[in-house]
Amino acid sequence: MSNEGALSAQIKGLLTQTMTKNFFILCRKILLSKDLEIPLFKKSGDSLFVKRGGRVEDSDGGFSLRR
Amino acid sequence: MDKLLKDLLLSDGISGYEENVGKIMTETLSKICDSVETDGFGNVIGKKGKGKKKIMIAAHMDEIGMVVKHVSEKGFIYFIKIGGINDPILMGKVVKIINKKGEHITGIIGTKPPHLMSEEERKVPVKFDNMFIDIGFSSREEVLKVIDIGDQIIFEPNAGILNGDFYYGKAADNRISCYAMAKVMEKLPKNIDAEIYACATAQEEVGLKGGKTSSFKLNPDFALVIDTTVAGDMPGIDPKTSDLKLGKGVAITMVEASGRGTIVPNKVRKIMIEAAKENNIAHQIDIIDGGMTDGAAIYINRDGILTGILSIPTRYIHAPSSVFNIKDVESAVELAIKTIEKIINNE
Ligand SMILES: [Zn+2]
Repeated sequence: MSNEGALSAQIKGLLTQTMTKNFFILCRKILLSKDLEIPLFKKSGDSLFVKRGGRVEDSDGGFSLRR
Repeated sequence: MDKLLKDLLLSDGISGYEENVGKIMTETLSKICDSVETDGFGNVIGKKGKGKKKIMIAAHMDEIGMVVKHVSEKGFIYFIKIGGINDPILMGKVVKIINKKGEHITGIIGTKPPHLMSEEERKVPVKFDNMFIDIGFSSREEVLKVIDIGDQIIFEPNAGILNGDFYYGKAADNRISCYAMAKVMEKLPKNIDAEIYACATAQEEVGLKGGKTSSFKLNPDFALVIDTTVAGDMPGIDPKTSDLKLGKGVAITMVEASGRGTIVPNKVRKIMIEAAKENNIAHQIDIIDGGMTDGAAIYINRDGILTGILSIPTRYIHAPSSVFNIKDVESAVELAIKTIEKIINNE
């Protein structure tokens, strides 16, 4: 039996797998609506790299878009 | 204590490091099944019988544990956790670090004696990333001659009988179900009218991964997961949180993690309860708020795989040693067989 910690790992895994074009567009929309700089998304293997202002915000392949 | 059960409890295999426990499963299933293979992910899959229906039994073989992350200048070992471990449980424990040669290196998770703690420190539980393992060397160089960064760490192996039917052991979650699954395969008739797959899955504790890959590959008509669940018959647990008791039979799990895990289809619940009642098999019903099994990955795989879950009530899971009742393991075996027979004869 796996507990909640594993659950978040699973969700993270699922999110990584389901990062589709639509998902990218959604992220972009959210960031734009927050009046942030237009982020640059790049898909490399399973990981999502989010760049803003040329700086890598998060590159762990997960779903944590830090501001 | 049965030798296979003991060997499985004492064996090592945190998520992703299941080779040794996989070897025991391969050896065991080879004697019972028509064929056995280890797939690319590390799942061990035994096959028995011929027929139209494909039935998969799944029991995860990985255990929770730790991995060596860093060795300090002075030779103390820092680690990450693999699977759900409550940090305070780690303090002061004896662990084994398993090196590349397969040697078990004894270590102690060091603690600051209460004498040296400030009032504030005594109140706050220590977090795992502030803990370290002492293996009795004084420098990083010496330590790295014995172990490597990335080696697995397990709790000190232990297994035995407490009293009567009450057994204990490390990694009861989920080696007791690996044992039950092997017994099911052994007891199913050789000429059974279905393809039965016994799948000892890898990496369940870190995201139900082996259940996902193996069920995708097998694409069964029915999957039966065997795992442990949280027993409530100990001090500090309200019956409304868990009413499962050791010795009262295997639990038929219906809902996991308040629905974020498996919600077992009504059709399957009905078959399993009928199978238990018709054959007078001791059973309990498991509705759990905070945990899930491989079932949660299997039943949403492909276009939805019909899945049932048998859970063996266990005290102190995800701790260095757990307590279970061998009678519940036996009722899990019986109910698994009767459920499988019912599934084969259905429709
Ligand atoms: Zn577990």
